[in-house]
Amino acid sequence: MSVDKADAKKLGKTPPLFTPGHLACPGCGGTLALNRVLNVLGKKTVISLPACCFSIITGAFPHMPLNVNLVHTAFETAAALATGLKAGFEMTGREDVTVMAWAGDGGTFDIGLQALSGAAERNEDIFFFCYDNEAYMNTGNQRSGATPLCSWTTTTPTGETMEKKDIMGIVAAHQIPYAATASIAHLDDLDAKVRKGVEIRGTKFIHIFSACPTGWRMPPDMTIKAARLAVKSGVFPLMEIFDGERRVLNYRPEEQTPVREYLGLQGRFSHLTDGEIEEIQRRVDERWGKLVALVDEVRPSEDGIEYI
Amino acid sequence: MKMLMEGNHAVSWGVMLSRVQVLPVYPITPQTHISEALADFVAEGKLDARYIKVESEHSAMAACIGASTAGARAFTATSSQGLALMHEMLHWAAGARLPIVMANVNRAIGSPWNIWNDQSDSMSQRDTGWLQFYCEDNQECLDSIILAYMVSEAVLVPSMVVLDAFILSHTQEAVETPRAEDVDAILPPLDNPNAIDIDAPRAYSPVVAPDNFTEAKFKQFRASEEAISVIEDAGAKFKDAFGRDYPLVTPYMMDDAEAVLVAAGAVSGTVRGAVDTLRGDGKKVGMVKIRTFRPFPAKQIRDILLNVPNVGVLDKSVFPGAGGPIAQEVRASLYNTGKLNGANGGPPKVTGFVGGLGGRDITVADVAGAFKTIIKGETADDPVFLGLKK
Amino acid sequence: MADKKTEKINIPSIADFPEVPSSWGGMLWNETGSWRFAAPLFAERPSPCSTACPLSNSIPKIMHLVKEGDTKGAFELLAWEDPIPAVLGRVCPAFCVVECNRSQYDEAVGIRDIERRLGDDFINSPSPLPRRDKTNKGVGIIGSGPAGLSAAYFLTLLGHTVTIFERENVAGGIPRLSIPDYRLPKEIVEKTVEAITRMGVKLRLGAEAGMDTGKNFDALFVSPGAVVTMALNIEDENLPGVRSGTELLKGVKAGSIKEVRGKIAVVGGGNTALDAARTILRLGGEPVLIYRRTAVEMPAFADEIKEAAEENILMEFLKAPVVVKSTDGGRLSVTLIDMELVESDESGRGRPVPVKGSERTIEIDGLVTAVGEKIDLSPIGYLGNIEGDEKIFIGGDAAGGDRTVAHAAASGKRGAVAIDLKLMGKNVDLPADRPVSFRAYFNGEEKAEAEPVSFDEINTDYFPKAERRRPEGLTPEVRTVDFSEIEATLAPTDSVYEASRCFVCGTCIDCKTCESFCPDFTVRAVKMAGKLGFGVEIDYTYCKGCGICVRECPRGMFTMVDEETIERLGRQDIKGGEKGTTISTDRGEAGDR
Repeated sequence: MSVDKADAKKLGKTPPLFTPGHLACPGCGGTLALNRVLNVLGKKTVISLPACCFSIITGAFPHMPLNVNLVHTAFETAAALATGLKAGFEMTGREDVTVMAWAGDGGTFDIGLQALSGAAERNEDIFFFCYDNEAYMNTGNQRSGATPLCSWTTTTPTGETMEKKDIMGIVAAHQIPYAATASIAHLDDLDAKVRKGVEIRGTKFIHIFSACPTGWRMPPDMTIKAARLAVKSGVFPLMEIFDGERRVLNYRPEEQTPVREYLGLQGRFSHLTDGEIEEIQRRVDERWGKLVALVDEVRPSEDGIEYI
Repeated sequence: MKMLMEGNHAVSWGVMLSRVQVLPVYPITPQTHISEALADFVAEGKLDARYIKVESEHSAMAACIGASTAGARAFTATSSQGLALMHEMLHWAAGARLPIVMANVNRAIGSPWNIWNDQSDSMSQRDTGWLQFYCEDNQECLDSIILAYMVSEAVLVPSMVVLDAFILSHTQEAVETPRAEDVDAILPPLDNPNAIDIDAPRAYSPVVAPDNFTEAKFKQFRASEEAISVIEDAGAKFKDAFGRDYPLVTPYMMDDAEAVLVAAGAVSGTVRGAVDTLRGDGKKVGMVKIRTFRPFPAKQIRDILLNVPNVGVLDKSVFPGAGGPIAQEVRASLYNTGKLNGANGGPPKVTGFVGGLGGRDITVADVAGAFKTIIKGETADDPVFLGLKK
Repeated sequence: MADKKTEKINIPSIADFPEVPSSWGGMLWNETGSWRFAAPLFAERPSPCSTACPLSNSIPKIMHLVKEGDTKGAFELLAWEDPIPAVLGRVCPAFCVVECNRSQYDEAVGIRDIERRLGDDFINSPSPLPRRDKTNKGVGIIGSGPAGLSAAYFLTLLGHTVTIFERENVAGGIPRLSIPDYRLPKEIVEKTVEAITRMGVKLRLGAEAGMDTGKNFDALFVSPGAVVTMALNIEDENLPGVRSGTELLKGVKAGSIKEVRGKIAVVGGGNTALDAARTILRLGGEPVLIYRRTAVEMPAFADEIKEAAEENILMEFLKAPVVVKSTDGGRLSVTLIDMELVESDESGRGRPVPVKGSERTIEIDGLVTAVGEKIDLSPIGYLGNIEGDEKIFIGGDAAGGDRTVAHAAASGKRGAVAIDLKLMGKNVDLPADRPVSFRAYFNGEEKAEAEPVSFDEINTDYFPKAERRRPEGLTPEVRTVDFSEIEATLAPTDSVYEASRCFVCGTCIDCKTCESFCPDFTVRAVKMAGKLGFGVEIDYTYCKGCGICVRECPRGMFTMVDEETIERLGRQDIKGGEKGTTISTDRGEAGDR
C-alpha cells in the first residue's frame, strides 16, 4: 500500500525523541504520555525501564524507536536502577543528565514498591513516572494493586474485590518534594507537571492515568475519552502534593460526570450490575468529598491551562 | 604501610584504593563492617564516592548496575541471604557485561538461620556468570579488590571477592596497605567505551530474540574463558608493583604427593598445617589451593592432579543431589583426559569431603583424618561429612 | 550512519555483535501501517450552515476569524460571497442558524447576528476584495433590488462595467421600498447601495430601460422582481378600502401613508401579510390577520411570527374571505368562511377546503391583501426576447425559485458568473443543484462534493455548554409605538463570544488535538495554502488506524475509510520525497460552501 519508504531526511536535523515504528497496540495511551514527557525533558535524559509494556514497545535488539538512552532492568528495580544511574552520572561529571524511571502500575504499586519507597525515602534526584493502565497488561491483563474495584481481569474473572491502592498517599508519606497525578487526556497539565519537576532536586513522582483500549476492552479510538471521563467523574483526580503535605487539586469539574458513563465505555466493566455501579458511585463521591475537604487549594497546575 | 586490620577492613581499604565512585550498600552480618568502614572513609573525605544506603541487597545490585552502566566504578558487599536475594540481578549484571566488583563474606544460607562461615552462599551463585576469587588471608582480601577491578574492567565480567565470615572478616592480621599512587599506576580511572553516551543513544539490555540470543551468551561465555589469561596478566602486573603473587591455583608439596587435598579459602592454611604434620610422619601428601573458582582453572587443576593417585576435595558447602561443588568441578576437570595415571589404572580417585558447615571449625586433626581416608582410597560415603555426630 | 536509524539491521556474524547487549538502530523500517484495517482520512468538509446558505458563505471560517479578533479577515471572507451583509444580517431567514449543529447541543450560534455586526462595521469601508483587470465589456442591469445589486457587485469585481436601471426614484428594491423600517431601516439599504455604487457601478434612478438598452450592452441582467400582486379572486376586491399589502408598505416607507385607523383585515400568512399587520398597528390601526391554514403552515419567517405574536397581533386561522362589500356606514364587510385542511397540496402543506355553511360576516374598515406576488416580464418585453436571447439573463424573484432576499442575492451572483462565462467565451456549466461560490470561481478552484459534518461527528467534550447571547432588542410595548428598529446589532464582545461558540464544523483551525493524541506520532498539523491555512498530514506508513484522531477531532475533520479509498485518493495527491508516504490534504475545500 505504501509507496515511498520513509527516509532519513524525514527526521530532519533534530531527530524526534520517540519515532513511529514502535510496537504499541493501536490506541495506546502510554506512548502518548512518554512522548510528551520526553519532549519536555529533552535528549539529555536516560530512562530506567523495568519489565512492562514498554520493554516490548521499544523493540528488540538491535533496534529501538527512541533517540534517548534506555536502560532495561528487572521488574522490581526501576527506582533502584535509576538511583544508580543518577549517582553514576553525578560521579562522572554529568550532573545535567536527567534520570527518569518509566514503570507500569505493577512495577510501581506492587513489585516495584520497595525500590520506589527506598529511592523516595532517600529523596534521590530522579523522576519516577508510573504509566498506570490498571493491570499487568504486558503479560495479558492480570490484576495488580492498581486494578480498580469490580474490574474484570484474567485473574479476577468475577471482578476485582479490592480497592485500588492509594499510591499517592504512599508516596506522599515519604515527603518527597513533588508528587502529582496526570492524565493522557490532559496533556498540557502533564507538560506543566514535568516542567515543575525539572526545577526540583529530589524525587519527583508522577502518576499518569494511561487508558488501555486493549486491556480495558474498548475500541482503540476511545483511549482519550476514557481518560477524560475518568478525570471528569472524579475517579482519577488531577492533583499535586508538595513535600508530602500541601495538596493542590488542579481541576474541580463544575458538574461531575456520573461514573456510569465512564464505566460504560469499557468492556472490563460490562458485567457490572446497577447495584455495583451505584456502590462505585457512592465510593467515588465519598473519596472525592474527602479529597476536596483535605486539599489546601484548587488551582490548575499552571496558569492558563484549560481542563475539559 | 603495614597495619593490623580485620578482613572486612582490608576489603574497605581495597575499595578506597580502587577509587570506587558509587557504593550502594545494605548491611548484613558479617559484612557490616565493610559498609561501616566505607561510610567512615566517605564521611572523612578519604573516598570520593556516592554512598547509597539502599533498602535491600536486590536494590544494591540494581543500583550498581545503574552506576556501572553510566560509566562509574561501582562496588557493593553482602553475604548469605543478601547474596541470595540479589541472585536475579547477579545474572543481570553479568549478562549486561558490567565491570562491577562485589565482596561476599562467606556465610551459610538459611533455612535454618546461621550467621557463621561456610561457602554455600557464593557457591550457590556459581552459575550467575560472575568471576569468583577465594581469599586465604586479609592481605589477599585487600589485594583481590584491586585485582578484581583490573580484570573485570578488561573483560567486562563482574567479579566476586570472597572471604570467610569471622575467620577472615572479623580477625585481625597484618596487612600491607599499598600507596594510593602505586595503585593508581596499575588501576587507572574507569573509561568504559560501552557506557552510556548521551550523544549516541542505545537501549541497554533490550529484548534479544532467539535469532541473536545465542551469540550474546556466547560472547559472555567467551569473555569469562578469556578472563583466565587476563587474571594471569593482572597478577603479573600486581606482582611487579607490589611483590605479591596470586596465581589461579597454588600447589603445596605436590612434587611427589600420592594423596592430595584440594581446598579454597582460609581453610587452605589449616590443610597446609596438616600436610606438614603428615609429611613429618613420612606420608607423601600435598595440597592444592584454588583461588580462582570461576572461571574454573580446569587446565591448571588437571596438570597438577592427573598423576596423583588419590585426590580429596574439601568443600565448605554441600548441595543435595550434587555433593560438594569444588569436588564436582575437580572431578569434571579430570574426566575425558584420555590419560591413565598408571597407578590405579584410571583417572585419580576423587573423594569429596564436606566440612565447616555453618561455622564449625575444621582442625588440623580433622584434615589429617581426611587424608587417612584419601590415602586408603576408598570410602563408604561420598561426600564424607567431617566430624558428623553419629 | 544516517541510515542506521531507518534501515533494518542484520547481524550475520558474531563479529558484528556488540560486546555489550544493547540496541542502536532505529525502527523506522518497521512499517506499522500494515497493522491496520481501516484508516483515517482528513478532509475539509462542508458545514451544515454553509450548505444551507444560499450564498455559500464560508461560515465556520468567518466565525473563527471573528473569534480570533480578525474582523477584517472575517469581513473579507464574508464579502467574497455576500454582497449585502448589513441587509441580510437583518432580513435573511438564517437557514444557517436553523441547520447549525450547535442547536443540538445547547443553542444555535447567532450567525446572522454576527453577519450583521460585520456588515454594519464595514458598511462605509471600501470593498476589500481584489478585482480582475478591467474588461471592455459592459453589462446592463434592470432593477436595483438585491438580485440586481448583487449582480452589479460581482460583475464589477470581474472587471466589467455595470449600469443599473432602476424604475423607482430610490434604489434597493423590496428591501428599500417595502420591508418596514423596524426590520430594515432605510439608511441601511441606502448605505448598502452606496457601498456598491462606490465600486464604480453606474446607477440610473427613475429610469426605465429603453428599447435600445440591449444594444448598448454586451449582456443584460434582468431582475425586475415579482411585483404583480396576486388577487384574492373574490367578489369586489377592487373596492376602495381594499389594497395590497405591498402598496401599503411602500406607501408607509415612502412617507405617503402616515396613518391607518380602524379595524383592518389582512389576508395572508407570509412576511408581507405580517409586515402589513404590524405596520397597521404602528400607524394606529387594529389589524387582524386572516389566514386560510394554521400557524404551523404560515410561510412567514419564524422570528417574524414570534414578534407579531409578542405584539399581540390578532390572528384568525383556518379562515378565508369569500366576498367583500361596502356597508352603509362607509365601512366594509367581509364574509369569512372556515377552512379545513385535507391531504397536502403541491407545497406539502395540508390543502385548505371551505367548510360549507360556516360563513360569517364581520365589519371592517379596510382590507389588505397579501397573498403573494406574481412574476410578469411583459412590461420589459421590449428589451427583446427575454427568455430566448442569449445576451439576457434573468435573475432574482423574476427567475422563479425561493423568494428571499438571500436567494435573490444568490441569483445575482449566479447571473454575474454566467454572464462572465459568456462574455469571456468560456463554455462551462454552472451546477444547477447548489449555489455558486464566487470565491471559487474567481480563484479558479475546483470544489468537490462531500457530506456536511453532522452533529454526531462533533466531539462535544471540547465545548463547554454556553448560552447564546442575543442582541439587545426593544420590548413589544416599546416598539409598537413607531418604526424604530426592533433589534440592535450584536455588541462586538458578544459577537466574539457568539463566534467562539461555533464548533467550526469541517474546517481545521490548527487546534492540534489530533497531533497531540496520536500514539504513533503520524498525524502532524501542518500549514497549508489557502483556507485558514491549516491542515494535517498523516503518515500512512505507520498509522495503525486506531481512530483516535477521528474520534477526538472536535469538528469532524476525519473519517475512517478503507484502504482502497486511501490508495485511490493517495494516488492522486501523494507527496513523496521529503514528506515520505503522506497523503496531502491540500485537496481544496471539499464541498465547502
